[in-house]
Amino acid sequence: MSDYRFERLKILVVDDNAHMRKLVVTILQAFGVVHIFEAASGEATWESLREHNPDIIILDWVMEGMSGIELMKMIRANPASPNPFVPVIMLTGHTSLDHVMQARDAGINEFIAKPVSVKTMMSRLSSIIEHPRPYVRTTVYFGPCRRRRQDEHRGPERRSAAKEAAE
Amino acid sequence: MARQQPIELFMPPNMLKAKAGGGFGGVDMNAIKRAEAAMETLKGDFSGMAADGITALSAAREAYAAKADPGSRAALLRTAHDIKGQAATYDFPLMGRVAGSLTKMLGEAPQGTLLPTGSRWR
Repeated sequence: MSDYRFERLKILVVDDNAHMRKLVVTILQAFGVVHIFEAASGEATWESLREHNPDIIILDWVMEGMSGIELMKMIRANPASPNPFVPVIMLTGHTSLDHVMQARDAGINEFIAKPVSVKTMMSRLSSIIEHPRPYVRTTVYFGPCRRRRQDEHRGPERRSAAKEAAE
Repeated sequence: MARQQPIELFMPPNMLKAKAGGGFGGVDMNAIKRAEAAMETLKGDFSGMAADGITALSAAREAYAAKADPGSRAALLRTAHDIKGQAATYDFPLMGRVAGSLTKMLGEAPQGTLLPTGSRWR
């Protein structure tokens, strides 16, 4: 048994659809999460981030006004962001690889494609708690490291800095 | 020539693990069962959800038929997308497929394409 103390976590559920928020909140409550906040728009999310400083955000993609992707980029990159490191699980009906890559490039930590399943939700929460990824800052990206695998490079070294180090 | 692209890689402290603890490798099956039972209860409310979704879809279609612009098209797409996700989650596959097809058409057809509206949908 994993025995997480979910009652100690604060989770913000962002979706402009009240039924979908109710579903996610119901699942989280069954897991034992007590401190759950809800937001129906990007603006309300920003406000909730300031006010509640959630430990995790569960974020919808398709919303009226600011989309989940725009909001994600704002959370990571805006200098006024209350917490650019906050772990974000994107929950969406978009299922194509292209969409997964867009979400990854916006800075999400985990991705759940609808239909929503209890086991998948638990698995993503567990992954965020147990296997956090390092963060990367470049001139064009800030967020969790987008590499899922660390493959050993077997060919000739082509990067200049690594070449110089090897010589 | 060496590339000048500063990359900073760092691992923030794992505050979640410190707060939530756990981590014996398994899954809390009691929590899973509780959540699945709660989801089953919600399935009983699906007719209400579906009615709300169809009302919203009809309104979005009327708005698009009255004035076909990127805003009304995006609203129609959002509504169909919501129904697609909910229907799939609550095991209404036919409804999910229809909403999914509408989402695909609205998402992929180039802006400005004449889409079926108004009386042709009735």
